[in-house]
Amino acid sequence: MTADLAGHARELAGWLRDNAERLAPWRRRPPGSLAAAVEHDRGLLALLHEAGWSRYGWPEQAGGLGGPVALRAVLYDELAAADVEVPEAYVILETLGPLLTAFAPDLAATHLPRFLRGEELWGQGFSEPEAGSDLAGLRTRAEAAGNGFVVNGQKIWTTLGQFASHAAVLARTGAPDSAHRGLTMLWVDLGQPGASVRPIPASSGRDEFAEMFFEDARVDGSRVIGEVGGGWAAAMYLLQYERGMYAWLRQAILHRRLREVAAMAPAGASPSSLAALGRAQRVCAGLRARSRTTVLRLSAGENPGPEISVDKVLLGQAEQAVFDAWRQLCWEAMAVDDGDLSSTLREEWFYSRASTIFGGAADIQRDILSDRVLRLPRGAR
Amino acid sequence: MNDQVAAFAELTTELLVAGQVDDLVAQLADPDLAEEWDDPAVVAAVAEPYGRAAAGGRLLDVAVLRRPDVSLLVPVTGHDPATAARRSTGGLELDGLVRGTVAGTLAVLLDGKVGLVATGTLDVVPVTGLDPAAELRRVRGRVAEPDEQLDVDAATVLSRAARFLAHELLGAGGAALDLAVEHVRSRHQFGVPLGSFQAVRHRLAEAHVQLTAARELLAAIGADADPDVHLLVLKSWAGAAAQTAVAAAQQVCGGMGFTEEFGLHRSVRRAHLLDGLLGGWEEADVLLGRLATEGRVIPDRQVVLS
Repeated sequence: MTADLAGHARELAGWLRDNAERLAPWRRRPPGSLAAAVEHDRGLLALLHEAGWSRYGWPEQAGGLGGPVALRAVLYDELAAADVEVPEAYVILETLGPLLTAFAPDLAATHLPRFLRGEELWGQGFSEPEAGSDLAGLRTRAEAAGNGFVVNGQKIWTTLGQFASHAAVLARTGAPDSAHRGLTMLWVDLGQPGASVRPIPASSGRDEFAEMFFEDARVDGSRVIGEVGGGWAAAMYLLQYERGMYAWLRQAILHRRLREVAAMAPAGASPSSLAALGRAQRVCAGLRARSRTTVLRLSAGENPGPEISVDKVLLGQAEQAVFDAWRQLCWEAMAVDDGDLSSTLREEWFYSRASTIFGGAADIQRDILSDRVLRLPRGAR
Repeated sequence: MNDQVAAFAELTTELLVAGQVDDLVAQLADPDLAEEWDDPAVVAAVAEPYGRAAAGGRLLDVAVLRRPDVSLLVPVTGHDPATAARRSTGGLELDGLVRGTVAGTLAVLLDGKVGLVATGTLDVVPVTGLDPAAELRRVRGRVAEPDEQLDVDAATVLSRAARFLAHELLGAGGAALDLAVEHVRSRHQFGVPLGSFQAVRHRLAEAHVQLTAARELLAAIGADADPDVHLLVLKSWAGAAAQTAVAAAQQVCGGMGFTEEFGLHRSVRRAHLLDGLLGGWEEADVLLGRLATEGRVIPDRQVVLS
């Protein structure tokens, strides 16, 4: 497998070089609306699917070309190394794709090829207004009805939810006090009556998140992801990819940003801003090394367990270190320039502030490490 | 860990626990073992328990120069080895540090080479300083230009030394974290274990994160990486992580951590001393940032997915 990954990476890098001109439109996110950017990315998704590169590492039954999961990590790494903007859709794919292939192969066979071709986006329906870090307290209900369920409730913080055709929704099928035991993961068609999605105006200026409302939305029994009552296990399975593979994907992007930020540094930059840049490099190097281990473990079919919280904490630190280095080195661009590049980086700076919150707050990760790795006595939160 | 590496770890731990560091140095200085030090896992297996024990002795010399009869002269401050040996009329002005007793020959890093000079006429003063257990010697004086060189270049020696010190730092930080974890599990205040307070837990969890990242990086980057990577990324990561760990430990151990009996001070002293040897992490971050603005971004491709 060792030789395969390196060889695959070389081959892909060669293809990216040979097709540099075709890829030129996707070197940077286009300015303008988020909707336009999402639309624009579909072209790159289609291109990478057609050339086969985005299909490696996904099972053949789900329209992939098979091979170890790490082949997906190679794709993200090589795209960023070739200065191609990694489509945000891959972030969603890396959380929900493994969920479908592991727990709902039939749904994966139908939907994964569409996603890979750029025809569909999906949303993740976990968090609720009253259930964020304390996910087991969620209240969206799915009542058994006929051959399926009727869903009522509200979900929030769904990345690109306003563009999604379907969502994986974690809903309560057990008693109200059943905590994490009474949850079921459902594949919900967002185009149906009773389902509505609304983008949330974001502080970054880019409305990346949406909220989803369900009023008597129907879900067929064939669209249960995993077992009825097995929603928590499905969510925990997904989390290793959301924390592990996502961190790898982001480190690839962050290393590209680092190269760009370093090139933007003004002559005579102050020692404190140089230190910020140096620290950002150092933290990104540590994240990459750690994330490499995790990706290889995922690829070998191992579950990294609670130690994966290390990756999540490091990712938040790396995200903020990179964009804070830009803030320090290029203060004028950050604060008072309205050019496209500065605007994009400013949005990313804002987004990096959230990196210690979404996908499980960094504080919760430290609690997990305290409980399950350092084995400290549990206490009141 | 393969058998060979495990044997190094076992021997090191056993002799350090017995307080027989000189015996350990003698055994590890066996010329037949010289090539084993090329394996980063062997360096880790020896240097981490050494850092945990915060012992004295000449292990750095043995691991880096691989000859029992030569001591490495390390600059007193900063990353630039040239500050330990400056040219002046008719010879070299030396001012540097040696760890443990000083051998008859001194290795000085000069013009990218490792020159050998006799120790005989030099002024050697034992240092108490920040970390008496480190058994530092300050070596000063004038010598003639070396006419003999080690058959290894200065860059390689710097990389080896940085890697060894990095693992020692992880040992020192790890020992502090273990001591603190033990303390907060057993010590009660307000009727509950200290370790049940989130403020305490998060500091220790953060120390674990930092030590883990530094260890991963050392494992992922090969011994052939250049000295900039070794000093400014690997060793400085370990230095920053060890300082995070000892600071967290010192805080959560409260007054106990300041007693001689408790033993935390050994890790605190060692972590700060080793971070400064060959340059501390704060300064390294500035140097790394400057290199990046000169187009020398430390390539991420040194950590490959295979």
